[in-house]
Amino acid sequence: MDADLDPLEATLRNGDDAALAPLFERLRERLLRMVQFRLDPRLVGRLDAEDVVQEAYLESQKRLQAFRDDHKPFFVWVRLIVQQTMVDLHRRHLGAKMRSARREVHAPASGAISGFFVGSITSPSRAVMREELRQQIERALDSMDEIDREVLVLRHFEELSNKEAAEVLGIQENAASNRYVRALGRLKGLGTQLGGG
Amino acid sequence: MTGPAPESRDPLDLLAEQFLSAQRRGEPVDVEVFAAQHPEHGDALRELLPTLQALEHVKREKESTGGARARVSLAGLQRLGDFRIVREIGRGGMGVVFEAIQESLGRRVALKVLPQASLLTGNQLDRFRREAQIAAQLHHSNIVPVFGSGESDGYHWYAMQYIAGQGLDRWRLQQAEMLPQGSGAWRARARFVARLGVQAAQALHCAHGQGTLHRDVKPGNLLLEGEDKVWVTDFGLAKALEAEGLTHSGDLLGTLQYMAPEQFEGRYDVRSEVYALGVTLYELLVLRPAFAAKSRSELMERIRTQRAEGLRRACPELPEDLAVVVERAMAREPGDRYADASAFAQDLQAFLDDRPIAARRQGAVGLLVRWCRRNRLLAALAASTLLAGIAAGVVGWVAYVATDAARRAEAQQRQRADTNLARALTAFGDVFDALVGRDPTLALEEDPETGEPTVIARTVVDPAAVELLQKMLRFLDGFAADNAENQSLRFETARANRRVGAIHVRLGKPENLDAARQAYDRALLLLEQVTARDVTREIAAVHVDYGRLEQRRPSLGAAASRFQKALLLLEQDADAESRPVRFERAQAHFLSAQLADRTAQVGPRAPLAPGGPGGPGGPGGDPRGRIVLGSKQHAQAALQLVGKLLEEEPENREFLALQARCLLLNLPGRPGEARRERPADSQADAQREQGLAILRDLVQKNPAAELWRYELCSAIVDGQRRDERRPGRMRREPGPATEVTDAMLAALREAKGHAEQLVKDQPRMPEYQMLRGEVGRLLGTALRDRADGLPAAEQHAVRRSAKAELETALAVLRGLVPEGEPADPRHWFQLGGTNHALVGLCLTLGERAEAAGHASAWLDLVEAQVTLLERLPRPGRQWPPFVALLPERLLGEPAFGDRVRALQRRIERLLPPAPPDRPGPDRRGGR
Repeated sequence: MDADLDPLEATLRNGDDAALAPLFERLRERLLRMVQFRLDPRLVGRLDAEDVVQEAYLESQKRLQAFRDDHKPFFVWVRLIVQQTMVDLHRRHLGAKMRSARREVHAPASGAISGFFVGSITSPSRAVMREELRQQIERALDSMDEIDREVLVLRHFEELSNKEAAEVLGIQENAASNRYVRALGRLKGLGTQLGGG
Repeated sequence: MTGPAPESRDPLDLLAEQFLSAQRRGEPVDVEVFAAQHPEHGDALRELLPTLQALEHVKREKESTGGARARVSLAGLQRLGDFRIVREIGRGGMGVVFEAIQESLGRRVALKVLPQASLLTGNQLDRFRREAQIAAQLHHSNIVPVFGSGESDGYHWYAMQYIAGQGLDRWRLQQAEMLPQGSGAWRARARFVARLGVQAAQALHCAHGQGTLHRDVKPGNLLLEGEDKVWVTDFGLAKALEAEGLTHSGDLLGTLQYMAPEQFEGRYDVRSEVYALGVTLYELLVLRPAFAAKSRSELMERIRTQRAEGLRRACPELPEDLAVVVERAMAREPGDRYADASAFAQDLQAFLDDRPIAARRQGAVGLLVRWCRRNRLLAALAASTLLAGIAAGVVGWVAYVATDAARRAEAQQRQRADTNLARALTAFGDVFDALVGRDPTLALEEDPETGEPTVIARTVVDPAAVELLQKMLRFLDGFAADNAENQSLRFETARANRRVGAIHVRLGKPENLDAARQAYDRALLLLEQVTARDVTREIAAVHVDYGRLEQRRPSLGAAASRFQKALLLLEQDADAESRPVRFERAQAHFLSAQLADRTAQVGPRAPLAPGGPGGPGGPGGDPRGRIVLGSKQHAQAALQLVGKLLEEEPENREFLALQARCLLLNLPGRPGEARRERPADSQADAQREQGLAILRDLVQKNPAAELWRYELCSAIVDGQRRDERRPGRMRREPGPATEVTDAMLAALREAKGHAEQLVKDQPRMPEYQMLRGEVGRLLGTALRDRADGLPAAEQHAVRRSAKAELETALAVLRGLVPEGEPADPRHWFQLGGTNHALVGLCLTLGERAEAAGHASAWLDLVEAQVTLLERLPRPGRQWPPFVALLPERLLGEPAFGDRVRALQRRIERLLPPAPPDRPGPDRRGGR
């Protein structure tokens, strides 16, 4: 998935707008996941991840010049646009209540992530265990460096490569790699509990 | 998933990634086995990998249950109103397209659903629906039928016939991925693309015919079904969603890459869609877009100012003809493209059938000329830009020659620059020809491709075109002056001057005639300075044109001498016996004959009104007596020459037309009094009928050739004028009316049809309006006289229709000069005659008030003319004494009696004592 080797991406970079749609299409699933993951709970039901991604697609059509001007890989660039679209939509829909929209979208709180993890445990009989687990995960996430946490989310939930994650976060690749392993280490021991869920 | 610098990454990260990739690919993975394979990290892996697996598990579970999606999203849409969603087909800027079943009708549809995030206002929604309705009315085998649009569950949708296929944008990318390929594949694809192009162009043409523009022609809107069926989709959708926030307001409509240059200036028509389709086919042929740039502004700049790389340069395997066709469609200037999508389709089909294509590469100028010929009016409007381009070529040459470098340059380079200049000048001439016709008096031109003479559609001559041509002329003139040593420049400038003169003559207003004289003088002056080539024929041509102009003067000597000069030049011409020169000689003879005929009948006379700056002319003929032949000899010479030409080319329409003109010339007593008393000449009558028959045939076979129609109509009118001039016709009171025969009425009705057609085709030609007015006047007076001979019961109806004809004539004639008195004496004559006829008719019909109105208008005209005459040093001896024709009954009216008597006194002072044998009132006034 290395962007530099993708001929379609090179086509787009060289000025062929027709390549945008298929490139975007490839990323749609990952982008949807990203939006779902980061959408403010208050907006669930009002905004649909599909709409956000669609909006971002239109936005990327408009801003192709920026893609060609700086040399970010396509995915990184599109992801930024999705992020910006979410910030805008959050602002539009939540208004003054959402002063920190940018921050929230960029780095979801530990609670949101832990909720995401445990939300999948649906069996009522395990509700107590779920709450326990949630707290446990949240503690683990809280203990993490904010960027470590973001690396984990990017690498795992958005399925970014290490290189992509590094570029999204603007850090060195080895640093991103180390942070990923460190974050995974914080979660060790959770594997058996979650996997059984 | 390989990073560029693996050694910089945590080895655990790399192993984890490897493990996870295998798991995501669905390969069987086992933590223990994996850890055993990497013993140096075994423990760490045993700790980390279960966490990894757990995270993956959570994620997948979430995905399968729909996770955090709290409401039915577009992706998960199962049903929308009457539609059951089958699957998602694709997504674009305007929403998601689903395959769906419209359950009430049980039909499969493609359902375009707009994203909900973009909320439409009521107005926008109305427009969206309206466009959908328009699109739904389009029926063509290559247009995706639109079933309708609506709103369900908060979504706006648009239902179309489901096409099992894909957009050509995707097809193109797939093909591009398959590169490289052999040349056979390219050629096969070229034919394939051409076939698709034919269908798409036909579809567009069908829509254009119904007044619908697509507005977003591009590969993505052409759906490929099966092997080679193409469907055009999303008609007008771009427009419907304009400013909706869906295509983003403020953006240009359509997709930038496929936009025609003129769109950036806000112009858009069918040719813009021809362009977009051309660019689309280009892209499908070479598998990359015609225009690509890193930024929108750069892209716009490229589209506006650059040509796409030549198709054959981009891909040498492409067939030449196809490249020519597609490149013509995507020419930067709308005028250089096919005039419509149908012409584009036809040429693509010609390529497929291995027939010669219309757009055979003939250089930009050739294309330009072709197009100008086809679209004269548009050409006149667009020509300023085209000419600016040509002018730039010329100026570029000058700049080049002016540099020191050029002086030192190799002879070869210098020669190349000269060649470029010559091309630019020829282009100038060709554009000129295309705009105004090679010779405005002829209706035929040779088709540059087939060599066949074709009838010029319609030479639109209007003041705007003239202004444009004058601009060109000023440029050329100044240019020629600055480059006095350049002979071809002089020649081209002379030719341009001659053509401008001819246009002015056609326009026919006094100021035009002055301008024409100046242009002809300038042309002759320039031609005299051309020594490097034989310009005899061109000089003769100028003299002929000049003579035609001078015919309008009351004194005909100047015209006669022009024709004479032309004849002498042509007879001395090296190619005097060649067909074109013989034809020109016949023309000159004909014109001389016509003129001599007029000279004979008119005799010495002063102008009716102040003419142009030429002032009063001398005695008939050339003052130096150089007219050696009379009208009959000239006519015979012309007929002889043209007869010989017709023996060689019996079907040549120009020859036929000239023959007809010569035959019509020999009218007995036409139209002056000199021969009026001559007994009817049956041979001349037969000739006249023969001439009319030839013209009728020409007009019938070439309905667009307005000049012949004009000549036919004039010839018919001439005949009726002659009849009308018989004593007593015009003089209503008290003389008896001559009998108006059915044949006369039929002839006038035929003339009326032609005149109406002429005015319809060329509303701005004063000559045609004048003719229309005259026909109306003649028909009106003929009907009026006819009524006199009818039983009393039928008289009224005929008189009413006579009045209607006269009123039409009056309106047309008045339209020629909306305010003030008419400047052209012939116009004055027609207007006065019509007014006068209406006075009498209204009185007969008992409409006194109306009669008084017409009489008052008529007296105004007479007064104006008398005033003009009073200012002339030599008053006219043949002043048509209309005043005497004033109906006696009106003379008794106190309102008019004084005015009439005053006028009569003024006129009497103007008139010289009449010779005792002169018949007086009806002499010239009987029209």
